[in-house]
Amino acid sequence: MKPLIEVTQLCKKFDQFTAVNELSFTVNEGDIFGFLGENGAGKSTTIRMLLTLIQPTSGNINIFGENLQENRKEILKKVGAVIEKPDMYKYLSALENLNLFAKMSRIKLSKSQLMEQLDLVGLADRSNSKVKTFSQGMKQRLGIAVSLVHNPDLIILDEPTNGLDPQGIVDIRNLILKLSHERGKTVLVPSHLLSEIEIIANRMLIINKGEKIIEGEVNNLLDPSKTIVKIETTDNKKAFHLLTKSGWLEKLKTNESQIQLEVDKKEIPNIIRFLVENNIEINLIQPRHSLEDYFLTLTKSADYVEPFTN
Amino acid sequence: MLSLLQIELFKISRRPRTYIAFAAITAIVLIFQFAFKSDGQSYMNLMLQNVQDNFELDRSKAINGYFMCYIILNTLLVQVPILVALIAGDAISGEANMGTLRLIMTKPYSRTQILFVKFLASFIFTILLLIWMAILALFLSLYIFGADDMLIFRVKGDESQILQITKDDIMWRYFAAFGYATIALTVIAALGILLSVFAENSIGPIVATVCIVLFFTIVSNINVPIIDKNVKPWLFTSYLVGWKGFFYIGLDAEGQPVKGSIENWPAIRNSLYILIAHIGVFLSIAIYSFRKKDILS
Repeated sequence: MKPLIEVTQLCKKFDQFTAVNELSFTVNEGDIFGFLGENGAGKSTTIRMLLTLIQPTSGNINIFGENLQENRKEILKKVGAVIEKPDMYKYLSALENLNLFAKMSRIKLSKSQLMEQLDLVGLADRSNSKVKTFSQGMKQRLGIAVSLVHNPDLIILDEPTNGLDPQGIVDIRNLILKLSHERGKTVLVPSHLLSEIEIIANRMLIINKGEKIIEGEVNNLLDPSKTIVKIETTDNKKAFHLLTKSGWLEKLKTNESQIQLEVDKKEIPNIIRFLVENNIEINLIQPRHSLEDYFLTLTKSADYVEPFTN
Repeated sequence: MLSLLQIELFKISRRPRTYIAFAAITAIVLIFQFAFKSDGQSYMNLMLQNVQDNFELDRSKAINGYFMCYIILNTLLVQVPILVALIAGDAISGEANMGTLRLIMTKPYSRTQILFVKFLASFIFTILLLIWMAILALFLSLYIFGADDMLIFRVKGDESQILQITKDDIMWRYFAAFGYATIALTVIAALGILLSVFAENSIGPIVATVCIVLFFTIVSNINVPIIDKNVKPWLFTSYLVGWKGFFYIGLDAEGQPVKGSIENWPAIRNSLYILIAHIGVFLSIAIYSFRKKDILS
């Protein structure tokens, strides 16, 4: 795959605070690239540098094989973006906003072409409504339409499912997959929704405190044999002791007050059967997201529960 | 860049705030015209009370369209900077406040182009505002009050003067005055744009622009020699009313008005240079700052 974004040793300092430190990564053509990090990790600062909203303190950014600082206009012609909140002109309608940003991207579209774009994000029936009447989810959809209106090769969608209802989330997820698989677009998705990234992205980067933690193929980074299963029963103490005596001991990751096992997903039915056969009523059995655990392990979040050790 | 300007003008035209300025001007001009139509003679008697005996004129014709426009401009051109600040002060900061600035900045235009287009849009808005003022204050007044010779009252040094300009020598002066006012108000637009670059909400730069203009105007009106000599030349507000110079007609050796003349053209020209220099300085600082600015909104 040909590299589309090449970031090398990127740094951004605000006075004494280092927001991004020596960050390097590559996004390949056709990737759906997940860009993960907690709030304040430096995702937004990095994205803003990729879009020339912020000047890097040092480092280099190449997009489409060209230096961003030197070929800013030409590069930005081929980039569409929703950055943080999808804010639009509230006193204009959806159609007027879309038309305005199309013109700003130096393309002229007919009304029917603009309506097609709105239809793509499910807003065709609200084309003449003013944006001030829109819900957050509708603004999000319009923001995505605006980012796509000039048919860019690189699309940056910051938290694209924010504010959307379940159906909206599925629609946007499918749209992103379609853009990549059918139209060959490269999509960069900064997000903190790990489950979302796991579903749609083929490659990902995790940053923490402005520094790269890891970068690679999502499938390679995740290990399905290490799913953390959280169990709540009517008698946790009894369940914990049963599990310790029955060969699950090595896989227990916590104590009797909070039972968690690190197992292969395939073993979950066996655990349920074992507990039920031993007259333990299960209130909850929840496979914690593997990527989430992976992420938390890497970033050492305060919420992370350290593995139990004897 | 033309399409960017069209977009900018479209956005201005669709904002309700834009029309506040036009509505305010309309209301003020209509109130003036109504008041002078109803009882203008009292005003004229007051102005002429000290010269009744030695000044020959038909007082019934003294309140005419030209005179009305002069009176209205005298009042309005002090207030209009506030209306210009409403648009210019909002140019960048309003976009930052709405969250649209970051979207605009990802479009294939340079920051200089974006800021310059914002300035041009404010300039065009200023011109439209003045054209509207001219239509109401000059042409509507001429329609209501008719045309005749115009009297100008002024204080020069320690003495009060009344200048009389014949009606066929007035219209060009108004065109020149409106041209001058355009430059003067463009200084306010440039100042508004400059302050707008540093803020992320509209209120701050609008209020700051208005406060600067008011403060400088007040200082400009302090008639104390030390202020006259050392402070006023440095305040752009001292030059905002320079348009009046076009109505100070030149006098011959016998004190008679000379048709088509201006008393002190070099002073008007120098004021224009100073105003244009202010536009250049404000705009240059705005462009420099905007190019360096990190867009964090």
